[in-house]
Order: sequence, then C-alpha cells, then structure tokens
Amino acid sequence: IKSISDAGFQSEIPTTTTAVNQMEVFIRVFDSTMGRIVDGAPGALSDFTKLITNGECTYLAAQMIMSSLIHECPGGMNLVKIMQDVNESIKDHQTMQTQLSIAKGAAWPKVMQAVASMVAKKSLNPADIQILFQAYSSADPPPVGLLRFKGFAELLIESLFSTDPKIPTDHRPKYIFLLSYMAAVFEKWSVPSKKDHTQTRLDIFKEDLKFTQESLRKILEMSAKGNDVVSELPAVFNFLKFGVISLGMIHWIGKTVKEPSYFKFAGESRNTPAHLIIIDEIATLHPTLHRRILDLLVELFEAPWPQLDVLIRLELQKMFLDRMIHLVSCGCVLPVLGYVRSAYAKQDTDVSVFRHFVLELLDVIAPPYSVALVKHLLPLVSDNTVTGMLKHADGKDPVSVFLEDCKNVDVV
Amino acid sequence: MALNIADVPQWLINKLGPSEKTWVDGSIAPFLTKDFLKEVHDCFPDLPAAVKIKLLLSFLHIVRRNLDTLRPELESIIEMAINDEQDQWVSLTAEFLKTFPAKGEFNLNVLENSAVFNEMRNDIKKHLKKLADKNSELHFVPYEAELMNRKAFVATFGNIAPPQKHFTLKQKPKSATLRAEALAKASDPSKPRLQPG
Repeated sequence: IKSISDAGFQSEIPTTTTAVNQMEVFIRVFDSTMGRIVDGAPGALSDFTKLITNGECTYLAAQMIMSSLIHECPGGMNLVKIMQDVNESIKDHQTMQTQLSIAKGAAWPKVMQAVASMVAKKSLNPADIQILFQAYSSADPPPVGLLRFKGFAELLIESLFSTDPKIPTDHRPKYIFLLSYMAAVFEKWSVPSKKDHTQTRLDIFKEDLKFTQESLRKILEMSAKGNDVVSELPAVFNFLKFGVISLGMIHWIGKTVKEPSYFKFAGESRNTPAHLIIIDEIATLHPTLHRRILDLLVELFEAPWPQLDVLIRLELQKMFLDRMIHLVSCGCVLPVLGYVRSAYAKQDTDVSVFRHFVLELLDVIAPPYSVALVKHLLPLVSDNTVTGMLKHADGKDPVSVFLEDCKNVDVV
Repeated sequence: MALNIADVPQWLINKLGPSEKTWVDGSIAPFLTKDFLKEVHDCFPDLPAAVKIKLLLSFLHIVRRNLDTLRPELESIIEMAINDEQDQWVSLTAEFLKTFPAKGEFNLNVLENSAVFNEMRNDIKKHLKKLADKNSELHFVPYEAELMNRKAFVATFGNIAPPQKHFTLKQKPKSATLRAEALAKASDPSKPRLQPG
C-alpha cells in the first residue's frame, strides 16, 4: 500500500481498509480525494466517504478536522454538505453523540438526549418534544444547529404534513414552533479561537419566527380541510414562499395524489389537477427543492396505477413529464434529462410518451446548448422511433432544427 | 454493574470484537466502572492498537451523568493514550477525547499530533481555496437549504452558486398557462371551483 502511495496512485487506494492504518498513507489519500471532490470528479465524494468511514477513528478525525475549518477559511461552508453526506452514509452506526457534540450541544445534555433518542427511534414523542420546546422558548436557548438535524426535521415534517395527522391537538403548537424555529432562526457566532477553535454565540435573530409559525399553522389548517388548498390557491402560493412550507407540501401532496382514486378523474378529463400546479409553483420558487420534486414525479411516473385504464395511464405519464419540463425550465436540467433518458432505455413505456416529452421540450428551449444537454438529449431526439414521424421534408420542424443546432456543439 | 473479570485484556478483545470490526456500538459502556477502569489503566499499554482505539471510542457512549464520577479514571487512560508511541491513531483519537470527560465536548487544541492535524487542515484549506477563488458562493449545498427561510439560510451559510446554464428559454412551458388559469378560477367566484383530482 505504501509503495502504491509513494508512486502517487492515491486514487487507487481509498477503498482498502489496510491503507488507513498507516497515517502517512491516509493523509495522502485524504488530500487527493478531497482535491477530486472540489474538482467535481464523479464518484469522488463516495470514495472520500468510503475512505474515512473505514473505521470510527478515521471518521472522527475527518469530522473534527472539517468542523474546525467551517468558520475558519474561505469556502469552509462547503464542508457542511460533505460532512452531512458522510453522516448519511453511516446511518447504521451510532454517531449521534459525535454529531451533536460537533453541533455545539455539550452544554445542553438534556436537549442532546431528546434529539438523539427521537432520531434513533425514528419517532417523535411528546415528552422529548416538551423538553425541546421549553429549552428553545427560554431566554438562553441551545444552539439552533442542535435542532436542525435532518432526521429530526423529517420526522416533524412527516407528522405535521401527514394526510392522517396523529399529533394530539394541544401538542401541535409545540411541533409547529420547533419546525419554525429551525426554519427562521439564525445565529451569529464569533470567529473560532486560534488556540482551540472554540466559538461563542454573539447574537440570536428571531424576527421571522412568529410569522413563520403563523404561516405554518394556517397552511396546516387549510390542508387538514383538503379542498381549501385547491380553492384558496393564491393564498397557498403565498405561503409556499417559505421553504419549510413548500417542503411540507411536497410531502402532503405526494400522499394525497397517491390515493388510488385521485387520478381517476384527472386522467379522464386530461386536466392537470391543482395539486400538481402547486408542485410547479414550488419548483419555480425553490431550486433547492428540485431534487425532491423530481423524486416524487419519478415515483408517480413509474407507479403502475392498476386501477386506471391503460390509455388514461399514458395521459397521466405525459402529465408528469410536463411537470418535469417545467422543472427543466426552472433550471433542473441534467437530472430530468438523465432520468427521461434512462426511462426510455428501459423500454417499458409507450414511445408516444417520450415523443410528447421531446416535442414539448423543443418547444421551450433554444440554443446555445451546453455540451451536457446535447449529450443527454441527442440520443432521444435522434432516435427515429421517437421522432421519425415528427420530421418534415423541408427540415424546418423542431426536431430537425434541434439536430442541426447540435452540430454546432462540440461533444467530445 | 458488578464485574469480576480475571483477564481484562482478553475480555476487552472479546467484547470489542476482531480488528476488522472498526466501529464501536457502545455495548461495553455499562461495564466501565471506576474499579474496572483502574484495571484497564494498568493493562492499557499492552493492548493491541485496534482495541485501544475502540476502548477510547466507547467512552463516547458513557451516560453523561456517569462521566463526572468516572472522570479521573477516564482522563488518566486518555492521557496515557495521548502519549502512545506505537500507534498515532491511538494518540490522535485520545487527543480529540481529552476534554470529553469534563465537558462532553471534543478537544480541537491538538498538541501532540499537531503535525498531522495541521497537515490535513492545510490540505483541505488549499482545495477549498480553489473553490473560493472561483467565487465566494456555496458550491456544496447543505440539506438545510430545503428547510430554512432564505434570509436565515444566507446569513448562516451564504449564497448558493447559480446553476450552469444549458439553453436559452425560448418561451415559458405550458405550465405557465395552467398556473394563470388556475389562479383566475380560484379568484373568480362565478366560475366553478377547481376540484382536487
């Protein structure tokens, strides 16, 4: 291993367990893998994760080193996401203690315990919620970072935006408070000390907490009544400006439209249901939620809908692809095109659905095209089964024009 | 938990698992009493490096209220581990844990292993500088972006770098018409209201 490392082949090493035992080799591989992540090399992040999660001591060292730099150097904030991905990959191991300590939780052991226990059990309970509610409504609340754990936030969203909410009514405001706190409150921390990298909290900004809380309460009331969300569309659109409400609505709408009877009517009438128009609006407002929206649309696109007529299912699939085109128009380009390309390759969906996609897409996009777009889209558009019947002899149809435009893009 | 163990090193090796097992589940934490830790202290230098590391990491699973009572014993083992000359992973892990018994938090004032600690920090800094030189925006976006109000997110993490442009938008897709129609219907009481589904 050391000879491989000495010869400079660091990228060959990451996945081997023995490599990490030698500190010197570990550091070299750590360095080269981090470099590849920053350069955007495919697979680099997963190599990095494998390297440092080989064992708990390498995990701890890497997280310590990264956490010491977040507030200390230019670009340091990028490390937060990298640390999160590492934590996501080792969910089976018990690292909440480490994560919560890094989130500056040491001085609030009860709060740490409450968050850790709910995340570990994947379930919320009123007693722990009460502990958090009290702590965060106090004059000297714990750091907000301690609360903002992905697992915990997801539990709150799922239980509040459920189509069958089970939270006792008198506890509900506390759940809403905690979710709003995560969304709206931010803090100012001192520059880390040179000696031990510790920071002190200088200020807490809570101005938007009340408004967020109130908006969350209102949208939840509306969604509990079901029809209100559809009839009060302008009000709903206004609430969607809050990321946390949009995130919750993706969850709630997903549950709503997956009800077996939901699309029966929509498929027959060919009308796009209001719930999907809300999804479009979220895509417009929140680029950071594009991935979640695409995941939902993929799930809907691939669902068998056994209760629906085959033709109605085809109409629905086109309707879901229309939503994906909306996503493309909002900037979520490569993930959508990558998915549609792979869905076509599976050969289990009627080709007319993809023809519809190509036609609708070519209707809204124009050059200059990026190399990546051409790489993703050309296989579909140049496939005669999909687009043969769309071409005209004069070459002025959208397909021929696109193919012509692609010739100007230098695809290596 | 009362424990009468004749062969402490062997017991630790058995309990903490073979050297291929590199993660700690905390199952030995309840056994770590004052008396037992004293015995561990005596045999610590002779333990295999992998066992030393896993023993140290087990400290993270000790219930907080016990940390205070066990503090002197834990700290003396940690101190010995920091000075371990056979394996630097033992020493580095112990240094991170130095303040754990007293405060429940990690120590980043790394002294014994400052050379490796700083080397890795500098490596990361060098790579991040490349990113920051392009622009100061966020290239790797943490999950909080899905959840937080924009103002709070930007104040905490900074602005997100805009996505790459892949084409020119010739016209808005049909979704724009649908949106306008739906809003018109919703605000016009004379028209039948949209039904879900």
